[in-house]
Order: sequence, then structure tokens, then C-alpha cells
Amino acid sequence: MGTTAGSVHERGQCVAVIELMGVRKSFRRLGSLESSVVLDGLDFVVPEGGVHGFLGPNGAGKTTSLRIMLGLVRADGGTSKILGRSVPSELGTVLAQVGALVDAPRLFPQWSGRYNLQVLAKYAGLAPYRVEQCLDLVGMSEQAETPFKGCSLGMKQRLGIAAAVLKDPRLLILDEPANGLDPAGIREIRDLVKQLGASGRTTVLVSSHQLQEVELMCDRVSILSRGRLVASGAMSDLERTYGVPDVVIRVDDTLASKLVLNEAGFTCEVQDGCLVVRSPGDPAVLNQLLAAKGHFASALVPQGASLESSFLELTTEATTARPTR
Amino acid sequence: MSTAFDLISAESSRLLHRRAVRNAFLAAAICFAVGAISMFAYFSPASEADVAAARAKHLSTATDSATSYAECVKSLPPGRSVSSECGLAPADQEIGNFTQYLGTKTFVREVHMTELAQLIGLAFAAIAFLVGTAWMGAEWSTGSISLLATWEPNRLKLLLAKALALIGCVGIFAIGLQLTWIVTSLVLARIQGIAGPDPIPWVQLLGLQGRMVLLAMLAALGGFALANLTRSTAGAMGIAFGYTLVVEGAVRWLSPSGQAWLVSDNVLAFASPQNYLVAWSEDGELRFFRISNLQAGITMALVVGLMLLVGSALLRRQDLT
Repeated sequence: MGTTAGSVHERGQCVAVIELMGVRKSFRRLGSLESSVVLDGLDFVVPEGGVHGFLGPNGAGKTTSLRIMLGLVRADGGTSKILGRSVPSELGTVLAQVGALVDAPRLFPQWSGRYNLQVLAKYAGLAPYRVEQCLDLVGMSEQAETPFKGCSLGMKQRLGIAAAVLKDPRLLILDEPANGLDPAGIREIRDLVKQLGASGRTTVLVSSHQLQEVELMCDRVSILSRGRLVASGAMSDLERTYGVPDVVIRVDDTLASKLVLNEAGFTCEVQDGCLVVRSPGDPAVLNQLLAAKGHFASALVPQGASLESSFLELTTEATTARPTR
Repeated sequence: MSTAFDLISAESSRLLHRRAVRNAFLAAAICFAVGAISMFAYFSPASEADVAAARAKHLSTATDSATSYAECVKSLPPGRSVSSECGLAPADQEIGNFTQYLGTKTFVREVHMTELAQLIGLAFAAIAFLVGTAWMGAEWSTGSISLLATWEPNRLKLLLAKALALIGCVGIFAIGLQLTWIVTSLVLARIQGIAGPDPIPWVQLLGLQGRMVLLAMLAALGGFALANLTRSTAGAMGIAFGYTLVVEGAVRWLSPSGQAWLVSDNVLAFASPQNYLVAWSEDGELRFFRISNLQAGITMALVVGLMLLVGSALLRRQDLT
């Protein structure tokens, strides 16, 4: 099993920059006595340094957790700390060291990107040159005079990230930073996040649905499901513990073979003339099924476990109905 | 951590860059300019003889009114109501001023300077209310409040900075408008009216203009507080419209004495050069009461303060999603 968030903290290996313990949150539905439980005793610790991925299916409670960390939403129970200070009571003492992009960037529509950042810099009493540094960092220097409402989704995202890094934060919280970016933009942001994480000064928490991106940029990852942490630890540990390897099958009639395996309940797809079966468990079963229908595999190769397979393994129950109280 | 100056400066920038706010200020300036030009066209000079005749006519009307009231009171049988039989006392009657007896529409400095300063003040207060609602409504609807809360965690400090930026900008604009009116009216009096021999009632005029500036600031703050409660411009406007139409209408109809607490009566009382008189008929008898400037100011400040207090308490507790 991968190292749990709690145990990392308890062993005292690292200083925790984020520490949520037993955090509960439910939202009351309008016109209903029932409330929907979003966080159900979440224990989540992010050690200092590097890039930490925060994963979970839709509705798992990722954004609510981020909002609780930033003092935007109040937890119903449990304790929350960032940079060692309680949230929300002591948030003011550390907020100058925290940058965040939660949901879509909400900058002023009529203002240019540059002016938006200049006004935000005023809130924290930052020097104007910092704005230019951040625009340069996200590759927006040349388009900085475009009004925010006229920016493409990718440009808006870059400006949102620029606003988040404006304070040169010790803790950077990014919610879906690659949203709306083209492949080149995604790579730039990935490099930027990795660079910030590697600097040793900034700890980056990235919440994302894009498993491949998380796999490429994060050192550690935490997986959330139905308002609870189901796993946390180094990426490699997690993949080793939870990942069920895919199996690549070389067979003459890939389409007919795919049909056979699909009928048997396996998820598979054709890639480069081979059949890739997602997390099938014992490969011998596949061979047996295909042979029984007259399809003989010339090769049957298990692939390394991926974050995706770990994620699916850990969050399959998330599709069931959310409990209500 | 941001300083108070940083916060107010940033909020002032945000306010003055909102398109709706800019348009409202621009509309106020254009209305003022158009009004001033219209006044140059509307008014025309009068001869000294016309003025003297109008003054004499006004004096005789006032004297006649006082005499007939005194005779009515004297001849009134015991037990009869003075107000229902003889009407209002001369001091409470609105008998106007001598300008209504002038044959020509002349700008009379000591009269029109005050009257029009009041009109300008009331019109700008309405615009200031719109500025307040548009400003805070847009801050909520664009999600700026959530964004700013990640820069300044003390939500009350944030709200206070916004309110101070708003009343600062509105106050400066209102002062500018009233000062411009003084200059405009002096030019008007010289070209299209009578500049003397009566002196300008500076104390009364500046007192009124000061109250008009305060009224604009209170109106802006009222709109701001309402939009903070409803979290939308449309919601705030809807409530203001509904209140004026339904609540005030119902109070006037069902409980006329409750008019002392109505916002619109207090606005008019605050803008009034003298004590504001509210009169109504009840059981066949004319009843009335006065609202002083101070009383009206305190009532309005309490209403706005209460809305701000409730809004602040909600903002402090509520989730920003």
C-alpha cells in the first residue's frame, strides 16, 4: 500500500504545508431538508516541496477542499491548517504566501491582463515589476494589453496562473491549470509547475482530471473519492500498490477478438494493430477466452501499471449514489 | 498583508473602471451639461420694474393669507378644529416666492440657486444609488469577491474598503457637481437673470449643498448594501422598486402617520431647505407633522447602517462559492 498522507506527517519526514484532519462539509439543497455530504471526514496532508497532485472523480470534493484551505468555504467540522496556521482564524497571517487559482480565472472583464495583475498587486503591496515577471513567466507579455474578456480560454488560464504566482507564494494551489490550453500551452504550464516545484521554495498542489498531466508533473499524489482520501503517496508507490497492469495482445483478427473480450466484460481497445485490455487481472483468462473462440494470441504482454489504472481501481465506487444526511 | 491604503486604492481603481459606473458618472455629467444649456435657453432677463412689481404682489398675497387665517381663527366657534376649518398656519403654507409673479421666466440668483441645487442633488442621489448597486452587484456576479478573498482574508475589511472607495468617489463627484453649479448659476444670473440686490443666502445654500453631497453618499451606500444582500444588481433594483411602489404605497394608504419612517419622505426631508411637512387627512381633520433635516439624516443613516450590518454579518459567515 502507498504511503498514506497521515503517516507521512506523523513520521515527521517533512513539514506539512497543508493539513486537513477529519474535515466535513455538506451543502443543503435549496428547498430541501436533506443536505448533500461533500467531504466526509477528509484527512489530507501535503508535505513541503515538490508538486502534489490532487485527484478525484467529478463531485469527489476536490474544489470544496481547496476552497476550505483558502478560507472561502467553512468546514462543518474537523481542523484545517495551511503553512502551519489554522484556517480560517489565522489565514490572514499566511495568505501573503499562498497563491491560488480555483475554478475559472475571475479577472475583471474590461481590463487588460496587465492592469488586472497590477490592481491585484496593489492588494498585496507588491512592486510593479513583479507583474511583468509573472506575465513573462506564463508567456503573456506580448498579449498583456488584450482586455480579459477578449482573451481565449488558454490566455485566460495563463493570466489566472500569473495572478496565482504574483505573490511568489510558498504554497501554490492550482485547480485544473491546463484547462483550455493547447498542447504547447499544456507543456509550458507543466514545465512551469515542475520548475516551481523543483525550486524548493514553492510547494504546488495541482487538482486535475487530466491523469496523464498529473503523472507527468507530480511527485506525489492524493486520490479523493466520495469526500474521503483513499490513497496518498509518491506516484511510483501508488502505481505499484494500486495499479493493475494492462495487457497487450497480438492477435490476427483484432476486431473479432475485441468483441469476444467485450462480451466477457473486459474493457479493451485497438492500438497500433494490437489489442490493449485495461486492467484485466490474470492474462491467462484472456488467452483462454480467445482460444475458445478460435483466436490465438501470438503475444500476450503485461504493461506497467499506470496512474489511470490506480485511479480507476480506487475510485470505482465513486459512481454509486452520494450519501445524504 | 495589504495596508488600508493599498486596499482602498485598489478598490477605487476597480470601481472607476467598471463600465456601468463610468456610464452612470458620464450620464450625470451629460445631464448636468444639458440642463445648464437648457436653463440658459429657458430663462430670460427681467427689468427692475418687473421685479419690483412681482415683489409687491408676493408681499400682498402673503399678507392677505395671514390676515384671512387670523380672521378665520378668531371667528372659529369653540371646539372646532383650526386645521380643518382654516387650513395650515401661514408659516406652514407654501406660498412660494416672488418669482411666480414675474411675467418673464427670470433666473433669480438667491432663489433659483438653492432650488436647483436641491434638484441636482436629488437627481445625482438617484444616480449614486444606481452606481452603488451596479458596483456591488457586478462584484458578486463576476465572482470578484471570491477572487479578492484569496488576497484579503478579512472579508469585513474588504467590504469596508469597497464602501469607502465608493463613498469617496461619489462624494468627490457630488462636490464637483455642486461647485460647478455655483459657477454656472452665477453666470446664469449675470446673463439671464437678476444678480441682486438681495445677497446670496450662502449659509442656507452651502448647508443644502453639503446635505446633497451626504445624500448622494448615503444613496450610493444604500445601493451598495442592498446589492451586497441580494448579491446581484437586478435583485437590489427589484427590491428598491418593489419597496417604493408596494411598501411605501401601502403605508401611505393604511397608516399615514408611518410616513415619518418612509425612505422617500426622509430623502425629501433631508433635501428640504426648511423642515419638511407631511400632511394628510384623517377623520375629516387635517393632520400634519414636520421632519427636520437632522431627523431625516439619522433615519436614513440607520436604514443604510442596518442593511450594511446584516450584509456584513452574512458575508462573514457565508461560503463563497
